[in-house]
Amino acid sequence: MKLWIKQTLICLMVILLSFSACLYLFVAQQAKQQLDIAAESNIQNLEVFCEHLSTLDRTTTIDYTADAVTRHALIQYTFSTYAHLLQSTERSYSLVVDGEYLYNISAWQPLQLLTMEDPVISAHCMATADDLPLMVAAKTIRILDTLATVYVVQDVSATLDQIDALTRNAQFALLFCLLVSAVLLPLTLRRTLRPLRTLTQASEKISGGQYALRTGIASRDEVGELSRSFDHMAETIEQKINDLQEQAQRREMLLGALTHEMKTPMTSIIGFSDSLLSMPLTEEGRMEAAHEIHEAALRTERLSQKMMQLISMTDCPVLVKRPLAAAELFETVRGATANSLEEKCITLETHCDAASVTGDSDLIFSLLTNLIDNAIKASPAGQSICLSAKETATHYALIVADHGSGIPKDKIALVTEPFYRVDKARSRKMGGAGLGLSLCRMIAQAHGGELHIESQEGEGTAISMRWPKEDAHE
Amino acid sequence: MNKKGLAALLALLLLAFLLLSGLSWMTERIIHDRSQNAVLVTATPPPTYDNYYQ
Repeated sequence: MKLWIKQTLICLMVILLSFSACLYLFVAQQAKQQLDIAAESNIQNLEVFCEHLSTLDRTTTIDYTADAVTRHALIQYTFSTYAHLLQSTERSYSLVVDGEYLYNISAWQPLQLLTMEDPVISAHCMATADDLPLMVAAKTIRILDTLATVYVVQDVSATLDQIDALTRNAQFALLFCLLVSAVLLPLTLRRTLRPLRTLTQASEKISGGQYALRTGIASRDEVGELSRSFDHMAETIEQKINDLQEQAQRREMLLGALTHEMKTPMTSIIGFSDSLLSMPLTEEGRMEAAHEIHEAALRTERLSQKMMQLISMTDCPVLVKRPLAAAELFETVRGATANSLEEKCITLETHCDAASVTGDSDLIFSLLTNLIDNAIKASPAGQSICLSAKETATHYALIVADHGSGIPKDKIALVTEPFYRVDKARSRKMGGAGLGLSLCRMIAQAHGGELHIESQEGEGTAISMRWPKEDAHE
Repeated sequence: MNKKGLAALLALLLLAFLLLSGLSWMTERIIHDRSQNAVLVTATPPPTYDNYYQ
């Protein structure tokens, strides 16, 4: 069942029950009040009549000891005089003495409607005669030493008609309320629940691949809050999916580039090993083939090592940051790159403006050796490379500057991409895999910083890693 | 609307019908009760000779 139908039915049920309860109470109270008023009016008429009749005792000069027939005749005459004056089509008066009518011109028999037995002196009730609702009141009074019972019978059809009319009106009111509610409630509820339909459609479309879709519902109620929360969730999902797609694309490219890079040393290994196996070579030729195979195998090993580092950096590396003495760090790097520096007679100058930097020692070491390795490859023999550590109030910086061939301006943005090399032939010849700067960029990013490259073609390159200061972790 | 919804709607309509007809029944009951009950007032008996001086 749809939510709006369920809500409509529940609301209709609540409205019906609550409105009915109010109407029932109101109608019951009104009906009782109308009947009470009719009964009270009848009793008052009776009292007034009896008051008038009792004046006979004070005004007459007849002797109480006179015979009963004379007294009865006088009472009857006085009664009929007042009765003619006060009775109407709805109301009639009767007089009963000794259980018999002394006067009764009404169509009803009051004695059958209300029985007065000793010691009852007054009574009233509601009765029905000839399908007419009647209000009967009776009172026994002593007049001229005679016990007489006065009856007043009032036709209360008009009162019951009023009660019927009230009941009908209440029924119409209940029916009208129910019909209006049955028309208005679905319209209102459907309108209220429209944002939920929008949300459902949006979620279906998002699950179908439209990640950029938003509901855009701006209401301030709970549905608006839900929509905003939904939009935020959709945005997060879109971002995550974009990140995952980007990551998958990067990995795919990386794999493709790796396969391509592996082909070159493998071709050398296969070619030279084939020559060794199938061709009669001289000792010098065999040595040369073995050397080439050895070089290709070393290149493959370096490639695989760099790839391992790169992959470990991609998969959320766990950094162990601690303060590193800059001078000590630089000496370690110098020792690691000493052979390469000596081969090209390049001097490594170090400047420690910052006494220490905070970071992961292994990664910082790897970054510096990679940058210096690149600088050595780019620099001509006899030049110098400058390695410096700087510090500002908020950041650390490690800079490697060379006076080498430099990088063309349009290639600067590309050199940090995996397997990208400015001069492919020269780089491969020098054993480069095109992964060093990618690794350096990832190390900088892992420290929350960035790798900044400044280069002038033919003048040299300065690559710096800048990262924010924070508390060192042991 | 499914079977559950139809059943709920029918129940609602039946309840509305019962409540509507119940109003007439209630007023008839009030009138009927009033017809059944007569209000009687009796005279206070005068004190007897035996307990008059007590």
